[in-house]
Amino acid sequence: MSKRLLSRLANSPQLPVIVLAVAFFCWNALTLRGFFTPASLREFLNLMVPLGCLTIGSSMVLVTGGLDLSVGAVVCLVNVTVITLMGKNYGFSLAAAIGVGMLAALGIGLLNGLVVGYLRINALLATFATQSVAAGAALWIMPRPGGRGSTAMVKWFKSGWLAGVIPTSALFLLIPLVIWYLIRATPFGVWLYAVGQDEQKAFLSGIRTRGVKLMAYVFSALMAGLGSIALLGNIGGGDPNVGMSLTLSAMASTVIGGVSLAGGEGDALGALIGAVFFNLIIYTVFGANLSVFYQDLATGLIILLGIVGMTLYKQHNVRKRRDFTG
Amino acid sequence: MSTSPDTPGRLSELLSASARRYLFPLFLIVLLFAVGHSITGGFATLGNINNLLTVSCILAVATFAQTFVILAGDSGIDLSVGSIMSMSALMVPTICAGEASRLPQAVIASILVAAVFGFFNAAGVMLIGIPSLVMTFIMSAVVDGFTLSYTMGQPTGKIPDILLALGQPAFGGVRWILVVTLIIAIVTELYLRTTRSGQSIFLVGNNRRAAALCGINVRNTVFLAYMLCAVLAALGGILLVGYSGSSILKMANSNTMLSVPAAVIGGVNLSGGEGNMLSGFLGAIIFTLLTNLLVAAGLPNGVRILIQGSALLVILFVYTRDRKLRQ
Amino acid sequence: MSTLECQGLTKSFGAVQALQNVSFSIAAGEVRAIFGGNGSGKSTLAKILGGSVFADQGRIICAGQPVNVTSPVAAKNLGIIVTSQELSLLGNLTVEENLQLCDLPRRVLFTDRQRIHQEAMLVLERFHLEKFARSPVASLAPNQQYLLEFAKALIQKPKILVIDEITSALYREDVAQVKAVINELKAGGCCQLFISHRLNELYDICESITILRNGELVETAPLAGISEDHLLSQVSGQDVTKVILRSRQTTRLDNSDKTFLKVRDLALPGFTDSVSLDIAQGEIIGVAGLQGNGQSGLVRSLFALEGPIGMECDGASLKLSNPSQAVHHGFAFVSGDREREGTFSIRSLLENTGAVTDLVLGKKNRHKEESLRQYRVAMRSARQPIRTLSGGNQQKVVLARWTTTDPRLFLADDPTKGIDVTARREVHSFMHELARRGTSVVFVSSDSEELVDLTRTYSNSRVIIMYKGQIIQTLKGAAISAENIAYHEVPKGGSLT
Repeated sequence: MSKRLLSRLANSPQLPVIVLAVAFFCWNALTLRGFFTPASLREFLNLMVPLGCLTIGSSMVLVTGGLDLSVGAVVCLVNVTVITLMGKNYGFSLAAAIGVGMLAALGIGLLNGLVVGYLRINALLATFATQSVAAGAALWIMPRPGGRGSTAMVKWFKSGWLAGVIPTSALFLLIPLVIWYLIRATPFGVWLYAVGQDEQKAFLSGIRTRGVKLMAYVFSALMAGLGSIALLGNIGGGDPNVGMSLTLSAMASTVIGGVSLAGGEGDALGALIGAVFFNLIIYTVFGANLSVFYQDLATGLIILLGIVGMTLYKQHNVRKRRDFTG
Repeated sequence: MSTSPDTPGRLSELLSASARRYLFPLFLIVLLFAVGHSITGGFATLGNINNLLTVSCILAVATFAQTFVILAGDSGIDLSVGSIMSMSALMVPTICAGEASRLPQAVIASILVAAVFGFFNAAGVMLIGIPSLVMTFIMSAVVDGFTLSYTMGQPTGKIPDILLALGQPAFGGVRWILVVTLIIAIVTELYLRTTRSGQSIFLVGNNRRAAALCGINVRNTVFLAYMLCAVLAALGGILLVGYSGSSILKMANSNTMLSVPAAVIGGVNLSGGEGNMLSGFLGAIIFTLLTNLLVAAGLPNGVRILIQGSALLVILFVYTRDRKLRQ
Repeated sequence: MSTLECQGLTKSFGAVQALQNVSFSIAAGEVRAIFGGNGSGKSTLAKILGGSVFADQGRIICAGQPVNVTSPVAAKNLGIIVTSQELSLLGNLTVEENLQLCDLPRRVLFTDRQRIHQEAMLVLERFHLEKFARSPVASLAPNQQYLLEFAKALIQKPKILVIDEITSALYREDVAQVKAVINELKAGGCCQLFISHRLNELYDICESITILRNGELVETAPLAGISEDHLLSQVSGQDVTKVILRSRQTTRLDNSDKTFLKVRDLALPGFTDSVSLDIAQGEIIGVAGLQGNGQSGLVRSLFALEGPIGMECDGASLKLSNPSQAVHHGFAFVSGDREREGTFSIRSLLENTGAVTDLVLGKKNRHKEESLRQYRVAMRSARQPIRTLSGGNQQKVVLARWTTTDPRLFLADDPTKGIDVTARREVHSFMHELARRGTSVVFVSSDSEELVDLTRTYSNSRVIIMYKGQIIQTLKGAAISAENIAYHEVPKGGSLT
């Protein structure tokens, strides 16, 4: 019995990222002073939560064989919407502002789903375009960083505990994960993977492929919205460009987490572990006292190696199992 | 089994396709000028037209670069064009370090580095099978990081006068940069139409399998396309730094986004195999015009970007659609 | 009571007429064989019944009521289930998920995994595939996947079942299981269409047969009284019984022709036994055979399309690793699938014609327009995009592309598919011209009349007939006739497996 479990683990797409995450966690714990302390670990968690949300959302889109390049821009849009609404001109409460912010995210998600699922425009190009739509809207709403959110919320996010056991920031990961797996347990969850494997065959089997893709993009955008709220818990203020670098990081983390770019493979947990790994390696790079000018390059190379490595690893695995399904 | 005969009138269809390639963009240009004129009086003056044409040269070169990758087919798009442009714009003054005599080395170095990036783009796409949008998207981050590392954020060095001359008038008010850009357009177009490797790009882009069956080395052709794209982007960066007289990090990155619709309006087929430099130039002029129009209308930065994104969506909708699932 | 009646089904894809006024009816509990060669329309028929293709004209009547099969879902709701030749299975999902994909059982909102498993096991037991229930389909062997495709059809409780070419990947035991299930369904009143080109199975499993040829229905009859020869005659359009038995008498061939190419022990893709072939200079070899017996594989292998190939050329050994090398050694290849493998659709006629001579061989051809006119390509200007031409003219351009390279070996894989008779004759005369100038031609065709036409007026020619990746017969001279070819396409004596 345990042999079968071991063999399943060995063949699972999440294995590499689990190994990498554990390896870098240990490395950081051993080499970075002050890393393996409760305060520092909590800080690590707080910082990685926004990316974690995005990867959970991205994983659903990638499973259907698509890609959402607009997630970073959605983060920016939700951020400036919430902060602006909470500002003196509008005076919304935190909850109301968050509600409107999430509606904005929903709007972008629907736009993506419509354009990719129903108008059948290439997902990469389409979300690249909607990225500009969202980012432009964000810049319009708030041309320069500023504004103050709720310090109470930041405090709650950064150092709060639920029932004394669960860190409040982790809620932003746990709740999306639960939702993801609830969805996975429905027929829709099976359809996601069918559409990602071969949209034509899924269609011929009676699956409403357009609706499936729409929902995936809506979910991705909503998760980006949630991630933006989490980010607010970290930084407290508004910034129209705050999320732009998250798009690439989210895509890389998701792919490293075993979610195939081609679709039909991987899950949210793997993607989340990918986000954990990504942040761990950023810590490693920062901790290596690299000059500030080399950090971007290092990050970029990590992303490149991660995606190239995972893609090659998968191809190697596929060659071991021959596939005759046409 | 029966086959359908040629229908009359196909030739007229042919003619109008070629006319369509130039007439429609020209029409848009005139339209945009008219709208601009109605917003601010000085928009459609000869002087301003000259200015706008000059400014559009940078996007034009980015469009030429992008065209190469799109031509090679398989829905290829290069999202690192702007980053490579910025890289070159910052690298050249840094290498020159004030010495005009170092300009040739600087130019060659930036072209070589760009070619290496182009090579890696092609390798990721052709050898590993990563979608080109994803691969070049990642590469743009690597290039930006490289530029930052290389210049330590502070591009040193005065820009050599010969480069600065690009912004100066050559004759009759027409600036040198416009002349150089036109030369680049003509040279690249001639390359594509008359050389074996250039013509192969069209065939490879139109039908990769048929090209392979003809004995064309598809892999090499695609690598060539990506590398030429990067080299052209590097050239564009050099033009940019000469024309603008300054080098700022990521100064050319916004050209990436616009080079795609500019190419499409210029008649490039997004599935590959069809395209033209001169009409690409027209496409670049259209989008430069659009940007300036939005500025002249007093619209804030964010709205501009929003409209550009929407314009791309509209163009994608009109020009490209995936196959329907049902026959 | 499930009966099926098709009235006047007609469908064309562009210029190609796939089905022409096909009418037949099947009673409840009847197992009807649908038999026909390449391009006969049997796959189109299956797709129309399955709702993934719409007929241009005609009606479908189920159990006495006319029905509109507007989509695959609509077909399933009517009880029409079609197994797909290309496999409708999704490799990343498990076996049981695939079986139930069209209608996943639910409990409240969630997938009812238990019921999926139970219902799947019932069907899987019949095919001894129980232990794979939770494995991903991609991990199954090809024959198991085809059995699964059949099981998936079964689980949807069909009233009308269309089995499209499922047995080609199955072993004998698997086919026996399929037969048992078919008999059960028969007893339950389901009417079944069994599409296959394996004659022995048809006799074994079906009770009646409908024969299609070139999109038209040739005959519908009970199988009991029909001989194999009759079937072959009907499907090829030739009277196989009028075999010309003067096969021993051959016209004198010029024995001084040098052997240009020798291929030994070539294993064609999909077949285990290997084939050997000698090709003389200036010889025309027609390649015949029932579809899928290695003809296409032969010419493609010679062009190094299926991997590196070793051969002896002009006495010296030659290894070709890819088509590019083949082209540089004077080989040419024309495919019948011009859309995917031939034309550069948006490029001009000149560019299409010069693709090999100008770009690959570097010998700039200054007479391209002349060649096009020689081939009587109906064009207005040599600069117009090739997709504005009719199919036949497009193919002529592709041929011109290769004949102008002055090849030593000209390989053709059904190049006149979808082209009218006049254009075909022109193509044959180009082949003769090439051969007279010393080019060797290997010409695959699914139309035996064409092969006769091709070889009739050229003495240095022969027709080889392939079966299961082997050359089982060679015809020369007067022995080359359409009847003879059709007769020899299936080996005589013993079983046909």
